[in-house]
Amino acid sequence: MAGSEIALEVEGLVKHYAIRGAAARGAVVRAVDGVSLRIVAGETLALVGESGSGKSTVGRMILGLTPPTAGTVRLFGQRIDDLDHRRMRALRRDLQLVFQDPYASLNPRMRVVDIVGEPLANFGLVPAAERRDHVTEILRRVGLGPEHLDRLPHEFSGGQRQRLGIARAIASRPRVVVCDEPVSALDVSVQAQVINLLLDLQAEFGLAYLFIAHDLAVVEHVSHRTAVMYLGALVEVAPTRDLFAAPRHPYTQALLASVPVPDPTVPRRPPIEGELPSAVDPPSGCRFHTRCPLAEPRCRTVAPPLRVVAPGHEAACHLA
Amino acid sequence: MSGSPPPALEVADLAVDLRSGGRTIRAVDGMSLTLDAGETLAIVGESGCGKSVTALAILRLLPQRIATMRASRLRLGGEDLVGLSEEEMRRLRGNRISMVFQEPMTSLNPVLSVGRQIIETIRTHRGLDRAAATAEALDLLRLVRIPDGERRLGQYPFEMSGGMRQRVMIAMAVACRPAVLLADEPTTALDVTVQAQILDLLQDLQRRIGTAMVLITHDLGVVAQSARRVVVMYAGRKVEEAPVGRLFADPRHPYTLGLLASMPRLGSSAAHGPRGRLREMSGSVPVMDGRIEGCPFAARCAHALDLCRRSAPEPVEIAPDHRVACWRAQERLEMAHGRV
Amino acid sequence: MVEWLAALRRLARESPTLAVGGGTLLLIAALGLVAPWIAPHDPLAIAPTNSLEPASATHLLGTDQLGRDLFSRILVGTRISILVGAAVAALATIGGLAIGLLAGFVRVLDGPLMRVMDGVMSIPGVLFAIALMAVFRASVETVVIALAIVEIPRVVRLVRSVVLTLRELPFVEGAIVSGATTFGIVRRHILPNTLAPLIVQATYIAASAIIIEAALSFLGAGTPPEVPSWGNIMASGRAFFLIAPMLVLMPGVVLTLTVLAINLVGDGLRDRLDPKLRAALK
Repeated sequence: MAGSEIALEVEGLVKHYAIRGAAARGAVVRAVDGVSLRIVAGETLALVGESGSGKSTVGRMILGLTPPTAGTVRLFGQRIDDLDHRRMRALRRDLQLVFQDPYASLNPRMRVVDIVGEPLANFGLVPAAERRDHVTEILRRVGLGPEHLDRLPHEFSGGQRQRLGIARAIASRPRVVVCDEPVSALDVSVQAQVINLLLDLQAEFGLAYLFIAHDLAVVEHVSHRTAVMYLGALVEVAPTRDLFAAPRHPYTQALLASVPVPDPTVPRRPPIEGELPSAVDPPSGCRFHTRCPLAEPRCRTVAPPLRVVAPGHEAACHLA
Repeated sequence: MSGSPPPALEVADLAVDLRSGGRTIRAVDGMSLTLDAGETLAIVGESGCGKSVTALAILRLLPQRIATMRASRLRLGGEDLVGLSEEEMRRLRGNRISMVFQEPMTSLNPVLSVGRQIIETIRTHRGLDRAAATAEALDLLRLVRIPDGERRLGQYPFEMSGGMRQRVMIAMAVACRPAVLLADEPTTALDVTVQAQILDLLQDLQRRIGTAMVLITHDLGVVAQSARRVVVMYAGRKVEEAPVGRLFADPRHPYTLGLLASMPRLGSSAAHGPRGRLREMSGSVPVMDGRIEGCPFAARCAHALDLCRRSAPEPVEIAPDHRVACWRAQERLEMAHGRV
Repeated sequence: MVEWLAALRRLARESPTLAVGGGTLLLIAALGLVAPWIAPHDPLAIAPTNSLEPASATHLLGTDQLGRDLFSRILVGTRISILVGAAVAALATIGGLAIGLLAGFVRVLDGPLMRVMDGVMSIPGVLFAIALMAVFRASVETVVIALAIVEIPRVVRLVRSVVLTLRELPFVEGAIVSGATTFGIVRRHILPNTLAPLIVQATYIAASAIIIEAALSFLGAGTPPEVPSWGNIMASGRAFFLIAPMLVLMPGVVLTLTVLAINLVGDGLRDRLDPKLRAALK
């Protein structure tokens, strides 16, 4: 279970993209607008939201794949968002990534032994002569066998490829792993296998996960705490059990109510109206007020900050 | 002949072979289904189970170069589709039977305005003049709850959100008030709040224009909330068919059991605390090159008998409208491994 | 040996274009290579008494106006054409690869490099070669350099677009996360995936270089007239076309055959090296 050491800390992370083209002079997409998160060693924090919420961009900024416009990222207390290439590379040993797409994330021309062995070689962890044995051991850990060592990615099923992606991510024995929609491309019967594998690996290696996902049922299963994003900002952060049992933010409530329940005796709940507003010109005040059934006049003018509404439970709503 | 009206759609013993390179894959095998007027039938299964191929085969949209199909019966509202010419099929499609696809971006022509695409559809099938077709298009947009129709007609697909594009696709699909609508994963590419809106819309449309719908999906939640009856497919075959209430209350095929048991559900953290392991179905979907001996699920089934590996079970009716293709359908099997 | 034959037979069945094109091209290249030893006559030896002889046992394709053996001249000319094609393709590919990688990876260089390439691309190849020829002396090397320079932008564009596409792909980001250096990413992830389209492009460059070299020689602005290149043979035979059409037709036929063979190889490689197409063929 989670210790108390802070593995990953994100403060005021912002990402604005300038829109190209003469017609859009000066316009920016506010993909992420001030996100702060904290993950304790060994903990899973889920980051949920719909497409356009900015959740994946947060993950990319943490990994240094997208430079943040503002804000800081700290890994075990060390600031990493301003590191140069060389020092960031050395640090990646501790900070790994599991991709959504198990097809596109593996080089189609490389054999398994080279794919999973790549971090071992790059970080200089295992001498070339021992690499094969080492990779065999990692493969065993994710449920694959030595017979898979010399195969190419296209010879595997989607679930097995995701196991390969996980094997590559844990090869360097990282302490923090960002999982970006790790099961959403998989079939239901395979999803469970991969989720269980992630849980087992966390227990064995004490990994901290940032679990980025849109599937709330999956998130409820895997995470200790859950953070909900809407239009580039956090609207609610709470221990998973509290968030799912008693969501405080109207958006979280709407999100949960929209998930189709696999039980025909449960009547369908009416959906919330409207669509995600543009991130170029987000609504004033509370960003959710345009779709919120409870919106009051002040919601249109005053942006509610994230505040504590119950122990460990924060929500950004005037009415929460 | 009884006095009751014929079913909206009737398919019996549909088989589809797909050729790829030198191999032939039996993508659909012995598929039968009946869709009553106005009802919603869900076909549920994982990728590659043949659920989409079934829909494309019914509409005869599979390229003949790679696909061969046959069926002992294929009827739309009592009319036989088997002997129809390509031209006759083309007139039926989008008219009395139409389809909504998963990806609304690729199904719309990116360089034509949405209005032009809707209006052309209406004009081809209903022979209206431009003014009447435009008025009809505006009505359709209202029907699929797209506000500000005049402006929307002038927009291009890329200017719309995924949800709006899917509404446009649905508007085009129901333009001729079809008797049957095949919806292939219509909400899979959409966010959950938009998915809820679209499912709501589809149900509302059905009520208003009396269309019967085949809803193809992998999501059992969508099935539970939208369908009256369910067909579960695995490896090209129908493994179970039941009214939706029965399927969720008393699933009999081990694959259905496994699907229901392995899917994560909301409310799990309150019931068991967070971070419980999920039940797993072992293995993965078989690759269907060459014929599978016996039951296609036997290799992954914890209850498989020798018989299952030798001979494929046919669907048998174990209760009214509840058919199961399993040698052990009469027993109440449990998922082999429980929650850890 | 048996395995080799089996592999060849499989190749012929799976990609007939590649097999036919490759076979023809290999034959032509081999003939060109050994031309000086197998040519029945000295291609440069003048024998005015034998001028414009018809085909015979001694002169397989007859002789030209100076009595030189046409067959021997075409055979030796093969060397020049193949050499020009191969050299231009190699130079343009290597140069284009280097510049393309720079443009794709170094953001500040991208704009300037691509504008220069746009400039080079707007120069007509034949005119540029003629200009270079006027400044330097006419030689095979000058032709090769001129054509390579003109072809480089096409390769640069290809490489840059492949690099920009690959860079965004999850497996390249996966390599970054796995601690790969930029050099490592280029070597293990970018180059192997660039090679296939690059080789295909190289074949088309070779084909077009052979044609342009022949055209330049025909115009008298390419390889020096004493060198028996196909273009030169055609140029010198032009005046006698009505009396001895072979002088123009035969080099033309061989030229066409060579270019066709190279293009077949290019098309065959394109189909074979595309992993998606290859999977579909299996």
